[in-house]
Amino acid sequence: MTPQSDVPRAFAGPIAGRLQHLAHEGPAPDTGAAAISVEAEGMRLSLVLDGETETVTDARFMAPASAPEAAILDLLCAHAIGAPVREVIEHGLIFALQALRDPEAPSPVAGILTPRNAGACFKTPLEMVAAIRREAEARFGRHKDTNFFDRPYSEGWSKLDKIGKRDLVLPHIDSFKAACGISDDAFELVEIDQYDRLFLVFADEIPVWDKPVLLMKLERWLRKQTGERIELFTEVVKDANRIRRL
Amino acid sequence: MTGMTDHVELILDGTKIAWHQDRIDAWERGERIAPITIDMSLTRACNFACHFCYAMLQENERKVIDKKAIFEFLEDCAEIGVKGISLVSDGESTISPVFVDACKYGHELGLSMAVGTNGFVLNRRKLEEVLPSLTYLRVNISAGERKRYAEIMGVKEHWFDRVAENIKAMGEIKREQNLDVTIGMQMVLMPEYHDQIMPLARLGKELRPDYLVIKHCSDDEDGSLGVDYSGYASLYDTLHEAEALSDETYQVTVKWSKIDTEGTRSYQRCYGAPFMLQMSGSGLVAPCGMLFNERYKKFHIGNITEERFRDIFYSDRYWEVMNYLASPDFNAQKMCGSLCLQHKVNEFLDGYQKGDFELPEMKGEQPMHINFI
Repeated sequence: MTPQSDVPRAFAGPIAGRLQHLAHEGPAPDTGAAAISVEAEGMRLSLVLDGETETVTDARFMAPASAPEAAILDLLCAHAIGAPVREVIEHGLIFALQALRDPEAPSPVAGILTPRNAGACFKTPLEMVAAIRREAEARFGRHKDTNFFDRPYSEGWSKLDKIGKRDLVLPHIDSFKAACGISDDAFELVEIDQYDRLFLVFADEIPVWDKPVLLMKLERWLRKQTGERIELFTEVVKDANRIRRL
Repeated sequence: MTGMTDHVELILDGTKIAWHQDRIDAWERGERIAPITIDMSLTRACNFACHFCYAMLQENERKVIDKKAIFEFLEDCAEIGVKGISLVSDGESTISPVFVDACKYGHELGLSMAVGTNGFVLNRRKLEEVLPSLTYLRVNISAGERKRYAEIMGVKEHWFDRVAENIKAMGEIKREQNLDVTIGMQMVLMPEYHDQIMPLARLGKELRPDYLVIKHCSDDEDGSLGVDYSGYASLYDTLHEAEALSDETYQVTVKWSKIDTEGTRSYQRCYGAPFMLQMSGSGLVAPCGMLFNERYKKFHIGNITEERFRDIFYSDRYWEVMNYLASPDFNAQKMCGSLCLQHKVNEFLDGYQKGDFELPEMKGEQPMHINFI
């Protein structure tokens, strides 16, 4: 168990918050279904599987009370349920890392943040995921094909038509403008395309190099407010070469 | 999948990233690593209108890279630890007035310099001046016959003769001056160019560059260029036949590892961009060529015509964008076009990050062009 004092600042607040509302703590239910359980450093992680599809139907963990690792394992379990075990192995901790990162706090590293360099609290979860991998590969073999598992949008979002989606995001765009002190007509949502990509057009008042930062910040805001993986784009610019034409 | 090929002298289908373990180690520790390779252009302009050209999809706000901007950029690259710069990207660098000076100055600074070109404006005098500074010079030529060349490359038929003459001259100058430079020809293959595979392979045998590489055509996530990836499979026999024309001093290589994937990606995160950065001929610094268009403004980091590259590289914004690509915010399978420049590097780093393999111990002599990963 990692002492709280060793948790990097970027994770301290979100980890403390998650520890107050753990959703997947406890022993794995004894349903007779296939399961993989691993233990390390006094912690236990159990994945209940549909043996045919290798999909995780339930995920539980046990860890000492207030261990920072508990928050990480809880999020790992949340990502695991409904996903193939392979997805848990390949991307589970990246999702946990992302969910527990306070974007306003400085990153624990100057370069690329990964579970391997994110601090001591990720060490045991990394070992547990590696053990899950060994066990899964022993049972199901190593996959040679590609993992395309993805959870982009909720069912609720997908059921909405373009106008419904627009109505859902517009109030959040307005609240972002208000929170950042940006004028109402600084930019406008002009399209949501067939792939659910949101296209914005900026007014001239926004300096060129403010746009990229603003777009990333707004995207983060919209994802947080809606819970959907919103993607923001600006309008495409056509090739300016006179002799080339698509 | 490590993405490594058998250790051959000239790797044209694979990645050399594993030969840069010090930088992989630093990346893993979360340090700010300088790109090993930067792929860029000196201009967005081009005198050709190739049917397959991805640059048609990469328009962004145009700025002019003048001598001051490129010299400062090269100095910054040398200072922060960039190793190789390929002038390929989204424009025809040879038509920039700073082309020769950029190649020579980069070489003087200790950077490995390389060029991808249509080869039209490179006369013998210019070649004699620039070839000693280059690691490789590769000519894009996607047909082996005049008429089809004109159709595919969007130029007049007689331009084919001039480019062929220039390729021949490149080999001659290399041999006369005993230069280390590698001379290459590259065919960007769309399935509908199948009739030109053998004529081009035979043309290469006559012109005597060091190699001909035949590669897939990239497309964006909307399929704007209309590349039919399923159409490559029917060309495999012809491609093998072309490879069989290789001899001791002329290598014909097909980028099988990319063609075989039919445009799909095995990975979701993009870890390759910090190792292999791309820049537009407008001076724009964006992690990858597929994100140059204004519509990907979210990923745009800076412009070397407006600020020093070292300041861009050390900025939090640069690392915010790189971290976005390495996070679950990003899914390369859904959000990217097909078969990008960083594809093989991404495959390798993703496999390593997932624990699919340990870093291989690289033994023996380094492959050629080690700084172009």
